[in-house]
Formats: sequence, structure tokens, C-alpha cells
Amino acid sequence: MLLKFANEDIFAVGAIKYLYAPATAKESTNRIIIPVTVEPMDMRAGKTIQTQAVLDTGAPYAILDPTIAEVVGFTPEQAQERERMLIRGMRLEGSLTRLSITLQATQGDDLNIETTAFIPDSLEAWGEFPSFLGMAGFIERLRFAIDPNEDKFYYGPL
Amino acid sequence: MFAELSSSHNPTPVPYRARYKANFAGTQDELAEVLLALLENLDAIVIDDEPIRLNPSTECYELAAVLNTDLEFSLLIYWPDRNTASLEVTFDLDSPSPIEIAIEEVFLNPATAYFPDIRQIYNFLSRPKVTIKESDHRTDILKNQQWIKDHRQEYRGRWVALQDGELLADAESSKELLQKVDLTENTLLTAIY
Repeated sequence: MLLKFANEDIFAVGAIKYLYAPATAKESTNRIIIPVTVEPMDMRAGKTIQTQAVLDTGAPYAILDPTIAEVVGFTPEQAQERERMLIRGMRLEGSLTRLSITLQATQGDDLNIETTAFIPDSLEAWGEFPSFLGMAGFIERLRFAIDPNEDKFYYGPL
Repeated sequence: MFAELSSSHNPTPVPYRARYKANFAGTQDELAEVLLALLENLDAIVIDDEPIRLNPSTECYELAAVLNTDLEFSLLIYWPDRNTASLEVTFDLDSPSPIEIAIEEVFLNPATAYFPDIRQIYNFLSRPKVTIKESDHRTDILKNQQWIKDHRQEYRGRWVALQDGELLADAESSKELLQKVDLTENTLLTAIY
């Protein structure tokens, strides 16, 4: 355990070093970019993949780049819900599905989050956007703290 | 042919909204058993003082249940004939947990598991599951991050595949990059900005 409440209860079980950089080539504002491991949806068809995702408290769900989704074995037939979302000014059609994402600790313990994720249909429409870790359904299920001095994201279960 | 499950008391929008259509593999009588079992898992049932009402003209069961004081839902199921039924469910609930419990108890029980896709439905509805795992504190993550820091300007706008702090390949798009590398679980695939 890394961070505790005053009463000694655990706040954060792990921490991960993040990158502080723009999320797209057109942006100049830095974002918190966290390395994540996405588990295969189907061990026969998918692979575990490491990638990076932008921490975005304004986004709903975890949003996965369509290419990364393809690597972990997602196919549109596996969609459990269809959704149209307004993301950065674009209305994008996509699928909601259940995914397993792990925050791999550089200190403390890893945290695996099995959550609902949005996967845009079109890679072309998604363009250069990265994957996102959104508030609803993902970040809201964690306790977290950010140390800008060390570029560290602390996390723990609720 | 649908069943609808919706909340009439939903103070705040939540991400547990879903619409499903699943083929029912059992008969009407078997489905009635499933519904009865579902009802038994709820705290209270209210619909004209009757827990289940059969409407002979439309061949549908109409259920309304009050799970607790702030959560209410109704369920409608129609059958095209006596041997098949389909189900379409809409959830819009403040808290899905009572529904999760009911679904787990009823539909995942092998004795009443008539819906082949119900596990998928259950998985979707479930709250995010957060599990602590012992970490092996992989050093390659930090090495990859260092590589990105060191080469960010050089590769800005490109997709890269990294492993243990080494560049495996780069490409203009993720699709193109995938054609260039053999991915392993230690490969980091990311765009550089």
C-alpha cells in the first residue's frame, strides 16, 4: 500500500508513472497518459496488448482505439450495445463491450478493471485520437491521486 | 416481440443503459418458471395486487416490480408462438445491483439458464470489477516511457511498436504498424504526440 487515510485505511494500493504530453498532434495542452494492458477478449482470437490511454475525466467509459480493439480480438458481432457518442466534436457510432484493462504498477500492486468500453466503428473517423480512460464506468470506480511533481498516478479500489 | 425493463425513478443518468434482444430457448411455460424465479429474487412485487398477469389477447405476461423504495421496473414479454420467445430489455437504473443479483440468481443457475446469451448480458450490466493483483513491477514499462520521452519530437504523429525500451517498428497508422510487427504481450503499441 502506498497512500493511507488518516485512520490508516488504504487509499492507494499502487502507482504508475505517467507521461505528460499532448493527446494528439494538433494539441498543445499536456494530458496525463497512462500505460495500460488490455487483456484479450477471446484467448483464441485476441492477444494481450500494451498501449497508452489518456486520463479524461470528461469522457464517458473507457474508449479504445479501434486498432487496439482488433488486436484484443474484438469484432462488431461481440457488441453488447450500439451507441452514438459525441467525442471531441464528432458524432461517432460504435459498440459497447466488456473489457479487462490492467494498470500495471511501477510501485505497489497492479489493478485490473473489468469495465464497459466504447469502441468506435471506424478507424478513419477515429483518426489520430488515442484511447481514453473516461470517468463513467472507469475512473469513478477508483480512488486516485496525482503527483505532478513525480508524474505519478496513484490508484486503489473503492 | 420484446420485453422492456425500465426505471421510473432515475434521479441521475448512469452508464447502465442497455437494450438486448435474446432468443429464448425454452417454452412459454419454462419462461414463466424463469420469471417466477426472478420475481422470487425481488424484494416486492406490485401490479394490481397480482405478481403476474397473463393477458390472453396479446399472449404476454406483464410484470411490475418494486425492488425497493427508490427503484421500480416493469417487464413485458411477448411470444410469437408457444415454442419461442424473444427478449429485449432496457435498463436505466440508478443502481443496477438488485438487478445483477436477480439475474445472477435466476439466469446463471443451470436449472433455469434458458437464455444462451445471458452471461454476456450479465457481464455487461455488472459494475466494473476492480481486482488487486500482485505486480511484477515490469521495468519495460519505464523503459518504453523513457524511449517515448527521448524520441517524442522525432516520431511525433507516428505509431510505434516498442519492446523493452527498443523500437521494433514505426508507421503512419496503427493498421500499417500491425502489418510490420509480430505482437507479443510485451509489445507496446502507441501513437506518439
